[in-house]
Amino acid sequence: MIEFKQSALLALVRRYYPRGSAWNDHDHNPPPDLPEEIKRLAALWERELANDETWQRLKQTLRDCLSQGVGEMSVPVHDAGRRCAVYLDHFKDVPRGQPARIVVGAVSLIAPLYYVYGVNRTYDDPRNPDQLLVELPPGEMKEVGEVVARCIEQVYDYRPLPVELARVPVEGLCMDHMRFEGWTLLEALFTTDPANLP
Amino acid sequence: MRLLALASLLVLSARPCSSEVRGYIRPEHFRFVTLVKDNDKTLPGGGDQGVCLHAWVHSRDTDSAVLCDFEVHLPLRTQMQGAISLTFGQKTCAELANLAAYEVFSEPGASEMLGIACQEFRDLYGRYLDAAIPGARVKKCLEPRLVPVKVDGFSR
Repeated sequence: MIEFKQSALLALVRRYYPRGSAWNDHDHNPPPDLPEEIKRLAALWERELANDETWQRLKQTLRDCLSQGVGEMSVPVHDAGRRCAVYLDHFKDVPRGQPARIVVGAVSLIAPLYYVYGVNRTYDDPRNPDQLLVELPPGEMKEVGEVVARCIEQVYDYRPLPVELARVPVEGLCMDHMRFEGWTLLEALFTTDPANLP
Repeated sequence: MRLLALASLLVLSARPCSSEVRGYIRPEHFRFVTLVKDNDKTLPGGGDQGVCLHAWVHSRDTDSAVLCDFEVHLPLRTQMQGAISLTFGQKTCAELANLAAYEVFSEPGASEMLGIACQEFRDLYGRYLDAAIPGARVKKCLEPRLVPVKVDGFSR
């Protein structure tokens, strides 16, 4: 099994996001062709969606292990990985202003890596932003997260991305058009919108 | 209806020095394509559908224009709304696109940097849409399977 180093992962994600601070193509009609890096990512998605038996097997394995079931959260091309989510609370059962707890399992399309994280989603208060939990807090979230991790390892021959690497900043890449600051390896390898869920 | 009322209120209360924005994106422009199937209907939410729109934004005072492309993704189902019907999805997407466009493109400095204004529009629209349909996203058009829908767009 390959051990991934920080420098190798940073070099790897450069293959899938264009360089630079902005990607200004508004003055062209029709818009110019997509950058090579995005085309590479799109090709990975095309291959994955044409044959995603392993991913479907993972969701079935999770359903067999967890009473809550698991939802399909993949958003092609904008994310570099597939995601599924376990809802610990139904939004109707959560007291007003309190967050609903969601555990997310993400499998990268660009490296044999996975990551399990949490989201505290507040549905009824727009002033209270959804909170990304890069590390799962002890208790039910952590317990469910461990089941998700175990199932991923059972189905995929993948390793978890260590937390300290998940937080490593990714510099100089344009991962979401004009936003070029504040990205992390977690976002580059798995999802540009980790807290965004139904 | 509530969204429409909110939109009218915001348009009416725009600052006096801001520019009037004309143009309207219609619900039927949002021709969604299912990208990731939602294969377990017993669960709280999931699946993905998308559409890419190409809208021109024209500035009358500088006579400049940019093509503002944006890709809208909606879950097929959310725990709040259940299955997102095409009518509900299209109506909500159109109302909030117009609301976000009027807010961003009426800003006094928008003419000078229409490309930046387009990105601000995507960001604001994405926030409004995620509040209305949890899990929605608005991005630049990247998905090759989505054939762009050309719309008239906006002028200011």
